[in-house]
Amino acid sequence: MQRTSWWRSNRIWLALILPLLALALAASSFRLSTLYLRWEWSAPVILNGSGVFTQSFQDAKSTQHTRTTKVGVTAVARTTTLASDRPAPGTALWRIELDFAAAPDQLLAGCTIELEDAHGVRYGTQGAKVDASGRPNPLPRKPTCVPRDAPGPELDWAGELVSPSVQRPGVWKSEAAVAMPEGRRPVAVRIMWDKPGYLKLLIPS
Amino acid sequence: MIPDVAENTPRRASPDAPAQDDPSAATRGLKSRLRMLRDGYGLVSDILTPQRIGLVLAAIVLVASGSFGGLDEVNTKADAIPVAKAGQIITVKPFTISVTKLIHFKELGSIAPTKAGTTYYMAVMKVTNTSDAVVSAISLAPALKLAAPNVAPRANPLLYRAQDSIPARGYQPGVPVLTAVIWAAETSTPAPTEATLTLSNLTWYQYFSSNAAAWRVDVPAYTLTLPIEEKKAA
Amino acid sequence: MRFTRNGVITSLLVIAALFVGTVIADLLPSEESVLNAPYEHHASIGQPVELRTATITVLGLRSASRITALGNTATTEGIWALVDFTWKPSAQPVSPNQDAVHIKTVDGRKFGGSPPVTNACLPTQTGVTFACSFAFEMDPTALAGAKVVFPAAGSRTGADDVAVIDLGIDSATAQRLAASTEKVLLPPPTVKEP
Repeated sequence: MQRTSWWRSNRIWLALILPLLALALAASSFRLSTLYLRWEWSAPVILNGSGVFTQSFQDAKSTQHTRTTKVGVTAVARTTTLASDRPAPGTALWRIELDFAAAPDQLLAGCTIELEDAHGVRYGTQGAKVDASGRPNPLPRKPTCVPRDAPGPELDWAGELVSPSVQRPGVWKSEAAVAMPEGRRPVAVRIMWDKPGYLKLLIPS
Repeated sequence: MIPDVAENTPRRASPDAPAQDDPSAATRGLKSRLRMLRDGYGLVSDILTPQRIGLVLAAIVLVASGSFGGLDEVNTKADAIPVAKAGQIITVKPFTISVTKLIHFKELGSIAPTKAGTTYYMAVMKVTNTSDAVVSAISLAPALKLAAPNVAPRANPLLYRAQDSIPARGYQPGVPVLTAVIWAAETSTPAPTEATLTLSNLTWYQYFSSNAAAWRVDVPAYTLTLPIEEKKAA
Repeated sequence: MRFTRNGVITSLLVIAALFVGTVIADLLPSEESVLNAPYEHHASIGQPVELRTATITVLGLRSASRITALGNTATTEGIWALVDFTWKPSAQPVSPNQDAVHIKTVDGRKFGGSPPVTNACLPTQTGVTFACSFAFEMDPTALAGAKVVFPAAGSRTGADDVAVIDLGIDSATAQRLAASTEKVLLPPPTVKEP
């Protein structure tokens, strides 16, 4: 009886070993939590100084919405006080001025503004602020990305659209202050509305 | 001569060859034992027919199971809930509770604001958590039920720390808290003179699919019937 | 069924092997328990612990019979154990989860969660050290040997990185703390000068 060697009779499967091994590793590598991080701030749009930011998001009723706005950072500079907030000892107050241009029907209310330094460390607007007598201010006024008197359309907690009584202007300015520890310099401004996408504006030097 | 097949290769017997003989003593012994049993049964088979043997076995099974309670009457009526008295320390898992009194009033400051058509019932009780970790007041509220003629409490009661008049949020292990349990109900006429409070055990329920677990209301542990004190607004 | 000597010995050996294998498998920790166990940093009072999200140092423990925070007052039939600590976030302005921080005692009980009066340690700022105090309503008999557990983030049961700090309470200190009749006002988070 002519006997073909084992190698020859199994040559097809031997050739497929490496591709199948690669597929098995890929299938079991659970990349869901590294690629699909929709519950984290994981998808920045990085612009140099200013640009257009577009984001689609879902509200509490799972309806899809889109927001588009042009944002530019006009100034980031140290200051001593802003709206009666002073920096706590050991920190310095940085004032941020932003220019916005958007259609009046865009949902832009309810954002968070932060500063980022060269190491990617984030600094918020609420902490380390004291009043004129040095007492900690536990509830500083949160900055808004929309004019306070004409915020435009908003979504309430149930996902219902609240139409504005006053139409928002097409262009406006916003300002915010961050008390950063002494010795740290900001390199970017983060503007965050809905996870996972956010806007990172590099501060022009 | 070199064999062309390995020594221990199983060989199929050829059709004309005699079958492999296994002359083990055990096989012969088993055959004769079986024959012995068969012969023995043949002697008594006129009295102990297979049907009678079956009946005897069934009787043995019934008697054996009956001795362990298998033939007792099935308890179709639900066990009555034990009744407690005011001031008695009762175990309502995972707490020990002692109910002091039951009060009816129309308003009590900001805790129970005056509303048209609404009246309030308050049970005062001392609650001590006997488990290992905090149990929230939200878990305890659905286990406390108030029943009285013409009274329909609107929802689960709200629990307050009676000493401080602030909402009771959690019960820490081993710390007794004097609690005011307040139900809002429709105003009813005539106002009842006594009401029945039912306190149910809580059980720690582990959800099957997720790692979440929570306290769930289990069977009622005690009922109390207390007279309702009328409290006039100060 | 044929009972041969070799057959009987083989079946007994298989049963013994299964028994030994089951005993070993029961003694080894399960994959779940190893993967879900938090990483614990053990320290004592005054030692800074660098957690994943912040650096925490427990400064000490006081006790009170009544506490006031944010305008709300609470008394207790047990004792209020006040843990003073400093908190410095490292990468984002986070705060310790007051519902998840707890005191675990020698008898295995955990005190903390759902406090009637909250004194949350917020708002905070990255890189800035804040002095905060958390109050725990405790059974006075459980104070001796207690440790306070601070999770880096997440809930009490789901934490990944925790600091377990021995409060150094012996029975004499426990008796002194349990007898306190102080009435304490809890301050908001204050920046500690570097």
